Amino acid sequence: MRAFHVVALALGVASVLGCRDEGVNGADSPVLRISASALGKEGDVLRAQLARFQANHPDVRIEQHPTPDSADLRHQLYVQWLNAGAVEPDVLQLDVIWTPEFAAAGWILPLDRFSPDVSAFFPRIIDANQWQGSLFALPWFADVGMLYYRTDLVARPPATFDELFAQAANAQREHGIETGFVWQGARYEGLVTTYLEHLGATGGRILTDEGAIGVDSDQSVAALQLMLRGFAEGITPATVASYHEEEARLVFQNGRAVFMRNWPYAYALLDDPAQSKVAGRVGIAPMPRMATGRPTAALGGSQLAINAKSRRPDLAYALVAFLTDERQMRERAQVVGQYPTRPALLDDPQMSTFLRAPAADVRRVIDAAEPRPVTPIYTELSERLQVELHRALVGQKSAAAALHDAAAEMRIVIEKTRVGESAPRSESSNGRMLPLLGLAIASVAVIAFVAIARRRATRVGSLRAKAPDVRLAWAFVTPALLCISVVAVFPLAWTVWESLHNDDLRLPWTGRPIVWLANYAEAVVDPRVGEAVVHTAIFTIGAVTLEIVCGLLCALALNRDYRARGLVRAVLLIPWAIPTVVAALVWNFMFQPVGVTNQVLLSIGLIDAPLVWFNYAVTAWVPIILSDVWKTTPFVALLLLAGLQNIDETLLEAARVDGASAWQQFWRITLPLLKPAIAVALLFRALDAVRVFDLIYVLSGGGPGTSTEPIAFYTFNALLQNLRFGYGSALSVLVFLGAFMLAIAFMRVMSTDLLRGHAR
Amino acid sequence: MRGRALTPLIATTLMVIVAAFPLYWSLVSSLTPEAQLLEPARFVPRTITLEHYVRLFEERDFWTPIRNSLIVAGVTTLLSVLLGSLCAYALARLRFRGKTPILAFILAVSMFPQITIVPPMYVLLRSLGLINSFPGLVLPYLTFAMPLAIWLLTSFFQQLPRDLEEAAMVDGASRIRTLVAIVLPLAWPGVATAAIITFIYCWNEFLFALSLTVGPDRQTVPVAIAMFRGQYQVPWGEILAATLVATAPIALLVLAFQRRIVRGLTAGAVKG
Repeated sequence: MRAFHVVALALGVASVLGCRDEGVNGADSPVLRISASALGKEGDVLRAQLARFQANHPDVRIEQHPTPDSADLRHQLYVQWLNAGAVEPDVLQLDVIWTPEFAAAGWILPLDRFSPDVSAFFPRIIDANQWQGSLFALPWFADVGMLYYRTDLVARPPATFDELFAQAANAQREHGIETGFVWQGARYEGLVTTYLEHLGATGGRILTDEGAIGVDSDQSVAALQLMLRGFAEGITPATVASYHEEEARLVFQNGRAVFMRNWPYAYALLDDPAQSKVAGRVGIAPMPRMATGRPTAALGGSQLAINAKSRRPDLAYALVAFLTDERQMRERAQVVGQYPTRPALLDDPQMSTFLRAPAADVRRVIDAAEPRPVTPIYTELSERLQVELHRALVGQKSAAAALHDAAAEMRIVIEKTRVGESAPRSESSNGRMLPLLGLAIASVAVIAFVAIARRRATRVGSLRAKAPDVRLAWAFVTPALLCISVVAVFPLAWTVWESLHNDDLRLPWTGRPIVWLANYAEAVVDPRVGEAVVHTAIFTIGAVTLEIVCGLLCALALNRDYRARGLVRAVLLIPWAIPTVVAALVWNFMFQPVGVTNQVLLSIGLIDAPLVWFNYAVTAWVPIILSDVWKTTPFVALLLLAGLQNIDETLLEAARVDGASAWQQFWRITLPLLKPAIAVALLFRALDAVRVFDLIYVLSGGGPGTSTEPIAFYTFNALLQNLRFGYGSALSVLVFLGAFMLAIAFMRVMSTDLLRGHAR
Repeated sequence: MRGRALTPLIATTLMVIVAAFPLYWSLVSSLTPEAQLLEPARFVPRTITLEHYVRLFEERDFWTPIRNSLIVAGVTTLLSVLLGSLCAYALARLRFRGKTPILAFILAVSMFPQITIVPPMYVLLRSLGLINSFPGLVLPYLTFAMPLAIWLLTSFFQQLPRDLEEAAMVDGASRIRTLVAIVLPLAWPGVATAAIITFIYCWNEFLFALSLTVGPDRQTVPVAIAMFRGQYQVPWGEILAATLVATAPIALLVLAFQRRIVRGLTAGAVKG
């Protein structure tokens, strides 16, 4: 009882605290919120500059709206929030590739009315931020992919890729350097940027000037083959296929690579003698070319845009203009080392010191900048491309086959979205009234059902004495039933209805036409759906089998009376009780390349080099399944333990007296009697396993590639990363049907009287 | 004889180690300075620092997600247990037709994949302006909390001895009076257990919180933790510190109420 008073008190305090905050829509004193990178030095300089701006605008609070710094996560959240009509954050930091997408969807303001001084910025970067003739974001800092090289191993930077491979091989041989060339090869946008630079080198294009797909052209295929050539010649290690920026940087920083492709941020870290083994011996240059192309630097970097629903657009623009003005930009270059987007600043005599690289080299790289295709559906195109490129990198497909498939998928995407047609019309209001209508109908239906059922029950075959009982029963049951119908049944019905429409919330000009079963037809032939089903099956079978077996063993071991029993049970229960994402993070940490698992395996000699678990499809499953087993075996063990304790001791006694061995007792008596408990455990665990999401989100993100992507995860991406609500709803219905049929199959096979037992 | 008693002892010790080790490892790592985190670690750390915890609460304002989780889980649990108790009592004690379909309905709802509920919830809440709000989370949470609570409570009510109630009714007390005067005091432990288990499920929920909140002012603890990802560097120290902060209250709850929880979880599954 006392514990409850404490909890109630805590709740009360929390609610009071909670009432003060106004959440997203409306606060008393005006607030302007900006969402931007705030990690490390970026955070320091941002805070300083925001404080400076605040000093000039004392009547408004300037605050940060924290977002994860991972680009993918931030993008998914922006999409989810802006589509939901969030009025904050007012100012958003956008990756350069998001501008056309957000502009086309009407989520950010065109800036022309504020008359920004566009001539002061690099023209290529300005171009990347324009959509249909209007400017939608101001460039904040530039990121350009470039070649890092070891000045002590290489006389001068290579001008062509042939030179690069030759120089790398040389240095590896003569100086015993482990690898020749490292870059970003994991299945993410970084891979596409690396590919873009190889594309520029061979003269290929992702999108031609006419807007057609160009990744299956000869030059584009040659570009991918160029990347693969490194693997074949021993210049590029196979592990590159799991590298993001940091993995590559660490290899180069520890002196284990001759060349590295990376972004400018790495330079300052590489030149820091406190942590880098190659400080003072690093140079930068544009990426090399081949005969048919030119040096290319993938254009990245961030821009600042204004939320179209911001309540203070003028002030928001003032902040944007402030953060991108000469002084703040210069300070950012000084503190963080990020490249300014104003050419004039590169003439500043101190800029070379700030950027820790000769300003002339930097300008050369920025001049080679190549933006990615400026189209609102770039993310979707890139997703398809990433998957296929990665398949080629890990040897699943040849370069030509991978790009051929990628081109086909990308063409389908372009066709479906009809990009470039008329300007976005206003969003259809269908989506707004329908849910409310459905809600009303559902409520009426439930009440009607209950009323009718009550009437029938009272009339048919009930004794006088029981009548008040029945009325009371329905009075008790109705509120809960109503609640459940509203939050569960109605949404399911809505999802089914939505799945019959084509509804892409990012492309409001395509409307919401009814397409009947087209989404289901697409799902059936979508290769990722089939794979997702297989992945779900792998996870379910692997995890649940282990859980039942381990759970049984645990239950048998626990089936004794001893003093510390309560404590043991409590310790075993904790994994079950903690949030899944927490368990996943803990296991993620343990399976990092430098994590404890590798340390143990190394020390007992099972492996001779740290294994990058999340790099390969097979090994990636290990931490995923293990973390699920760790988390839920206690639950299974408890269920089975309860079942064990219900088994009549006398039966076992009799068997023992008759001479049965322990094994025979177990196999012939215990196990059959345990069958109902095992069935229940199996059912619950299997149903949970087919819906797995949290674990995947945190552990592997569905990777490598999409090799650990279960169906619930793919559905989530369709819904809230790509905003394809029609298709995503169809997938949701399929998941539901799958779970439903699984449950029915179970109940049939195991013939457990769960329901009859409860209704006694 | 000694051999047979030893095996379960070894097995039990092994189980406890396996269950506890990952958490112990996280604790150790969360107290390790940033620079040493990605180095091969030792079982007992050389240096201990609280910098990650400090940064967690100062720079990242971890109090807000904790408050959000408390409110959402608390309100959902309250509603589920209140409405669920009534429903469960009716299902367990009162005689009326339609029990089996209702139970089947509730069981079916508890099997709904959450992802199926996300799209309509998102659209509905958006049209009601409830995205990123407390009601906007409580509503979808009831999808799983209500059936769970009803399930747990029905099992519990069934196991209550009927004698006292029947005696009271023979003496002329009405159903409602019996409920209030006799059953409630007896049912208190079971209701508390159902509340604890429901609270734990709500606290741990991730998908709805991820999809239906917009910013840190309404994000719950699991979402806040999952958001700690740097662009180029993953702040493991702070992540692990956050995971431990998120685990500690749950661990305490479990340690305090383990017997109740076990009974609650297993009551529904196995008939005595």
